[in-house]
Amino acid sequence: MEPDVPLGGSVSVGAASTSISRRGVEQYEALAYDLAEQLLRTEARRARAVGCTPTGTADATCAETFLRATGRRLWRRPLTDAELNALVTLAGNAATTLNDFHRGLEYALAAMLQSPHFLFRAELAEPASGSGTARFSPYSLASRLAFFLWNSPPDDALLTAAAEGRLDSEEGLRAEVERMLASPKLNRGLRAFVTEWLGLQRLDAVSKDPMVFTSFSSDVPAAAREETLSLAEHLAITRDADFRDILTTRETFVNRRLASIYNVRAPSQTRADGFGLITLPADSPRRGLLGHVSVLALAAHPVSTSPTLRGKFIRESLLCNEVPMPPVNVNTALPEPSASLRTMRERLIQHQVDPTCRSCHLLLDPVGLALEHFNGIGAWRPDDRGARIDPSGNLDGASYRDALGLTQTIHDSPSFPRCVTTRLYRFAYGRHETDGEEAEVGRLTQDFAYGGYRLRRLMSSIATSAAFRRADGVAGRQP
Amino acid sequence: MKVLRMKTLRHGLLAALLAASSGCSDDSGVDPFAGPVPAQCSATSLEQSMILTRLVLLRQPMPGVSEGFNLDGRVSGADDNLSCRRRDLTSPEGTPGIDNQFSLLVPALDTATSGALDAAIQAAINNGQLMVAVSIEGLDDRLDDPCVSLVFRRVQGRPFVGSDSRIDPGQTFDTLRDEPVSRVTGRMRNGVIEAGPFPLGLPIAVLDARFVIQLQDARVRIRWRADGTFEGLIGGGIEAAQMIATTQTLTIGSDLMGLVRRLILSITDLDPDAEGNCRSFSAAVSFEGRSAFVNP
Repeated sequence: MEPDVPLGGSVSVGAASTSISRRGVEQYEALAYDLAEQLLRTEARRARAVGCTPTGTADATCAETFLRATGRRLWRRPLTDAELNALVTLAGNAATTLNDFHRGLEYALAAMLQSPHFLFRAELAEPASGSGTARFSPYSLASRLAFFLWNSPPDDALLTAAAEGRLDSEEGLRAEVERMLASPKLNRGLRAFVTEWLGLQRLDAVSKDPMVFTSFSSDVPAAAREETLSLAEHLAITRDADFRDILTTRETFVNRRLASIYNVRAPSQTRADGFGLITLPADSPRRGLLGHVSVLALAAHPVSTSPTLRGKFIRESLLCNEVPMPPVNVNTALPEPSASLRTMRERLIQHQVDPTCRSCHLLLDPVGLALEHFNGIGAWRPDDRGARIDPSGNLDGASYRDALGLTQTIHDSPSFPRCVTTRLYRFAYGRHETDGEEAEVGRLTQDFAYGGYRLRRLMSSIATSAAFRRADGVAGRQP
Repeated sequence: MKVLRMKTLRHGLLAALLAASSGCSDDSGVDPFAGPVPAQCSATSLEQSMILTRLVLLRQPMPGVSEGFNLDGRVSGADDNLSCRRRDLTSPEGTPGIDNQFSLLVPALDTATSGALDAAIQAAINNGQLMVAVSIEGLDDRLDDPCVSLVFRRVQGRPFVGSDSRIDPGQTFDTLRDEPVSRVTGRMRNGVIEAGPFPLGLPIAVLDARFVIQLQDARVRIRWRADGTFEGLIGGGIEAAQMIATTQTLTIGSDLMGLVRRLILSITDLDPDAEGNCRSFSAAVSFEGRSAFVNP
């Protein structure tokens, strides 16, 4: 199927609308049949998946048992009688034609996998009792919770809580959210959020000129992403710490490859994937997210750094500032380095002279220049081809001397926690906040601060908020 | 170490005299670079290691010219019996007295490997077969330090090799247990470390060949470049009998062994015995290195 397209930096928002090509449908159909075959073709897998022994080629009871249980998981709600009957009939017809009960189930399973009920998350609303407003149906809310906190479908316990109406009550909802926050699956949700927040999915397409960056091999992007995700997990889940520290911490996770780029000793104690927690030296110029290869390599060109892209990343992803798109047909090429334009700072002056570029680049370039000591793949460099680098600058009135100063300035800025809250809100809701929801984002930001900027608490606050359950303007009915 | 001890002593005295005559001294009036290098340097927390990323057997770009060291302190001509009448070479900069008789044999090795000698060595380095780390210990200053220790050891670990076909800098390697470790103290001036003479076991592993070359009275010169990379020279004497014994362990046909033996004996220029027969030959290699971390 066609991949979801980010909207305003959020894949979860972009996924709200999609287009499907004929070719994509054909490929997906083939995949659905292939998956069904893999699950049901061998005796061992069949025994685990089906849960009953057919009495003959066509056994409607056994087929119904399998399809009812599997359908609940795949469609994240119980199947209606009509839906179930249709699938049982399909399985029976196919089994009779092929003279094989399990081949019949394959067809029904493939049909479920191709259904919009599986492929799309339909969020259905129902009237909220006595308030005149609408709320999400229990199963829709269960899916909302599961995809937000776990980035996966609801488990049986959550579906059961929905079926029993426990998600309707404050206490019941809170209990389920607490259970979900304590689950190891929370890592998946956090990783999905951080990937989207920082645009880490784009690392798959990052390329660097091997003549310029000789150390950037094909394994670096995946390692860089893992570093950032591991650190986020460490701060938000393992330590349940102040999440703003993701900007300033000396702790990080590296494997041998990243350790060599950072010029630090590789960790002696590592996980199975070769990553280990290290503490960067106290005098290291590298700290936190803005010292990660993931961010530094993403916000750079294939042959050089890009203070503009790095400034854009900081403005949009860390401070949630609006950065307009560049005008159409504008020449973005910088002058080549020369005797009079030795450093990137000198070459970027063109941006500030040209009135077409000036307003935006004044917002972006000075901030990005603070990171000029990190080359296009994030390795530290003492100078820019022999020219001295000046990493000092000013962020909205706050002066800093270097990248560490910039990092601390962002850490201390109220815009950063507000931005994290906004981005998590969008991730949870699958859409941008509307004008009327600014107050809710503000309330969540305050609560985030009150709780010591712990991301787990912010996730809980969003998941248990009345707004998260409210479905005003969403039409539909409970299946 | 049984060979050049007297010459070593002479070198030490000469170096001390040269250092004293250069007039450099610190505030105390004592030249920290004067006199012999202490056997052990003061312990500091600073340590810098490198992994050798390139190793080249030095050839003669022009007949009679080669890089290397004056290992015996003599400028020998064809009439010098103490050098078994082997004529010394001249450095590319014009310094006479360079001892690197092995450079005469390198073209033969090139021919024997169909011109792939350097490539074979580089491949051995890049695939992790031939990994030698040098640690600079007791470092107080990045440019000038009257006493630093150099530790040579073989390390292991699959290296990452960059698109420039060299081992990437900043990697961490583990010391190979039960392999010889060579240590020497030296001094650094203006980013150039000079050390020796000392016995250096240089582990070689290229293609199927694995052995340790024992360099007698080895000298080392390492330049630490501003970009953090290293380049340098290693020179020393290799006992001919040891080299012949080593080559006998390699896959060389018996018909060729006689020739190899004659070739080795034809370049001996050091360590004359009572009858005036030299027992060792001089050799020199150049190398490049990049920063690394070495786990003990």
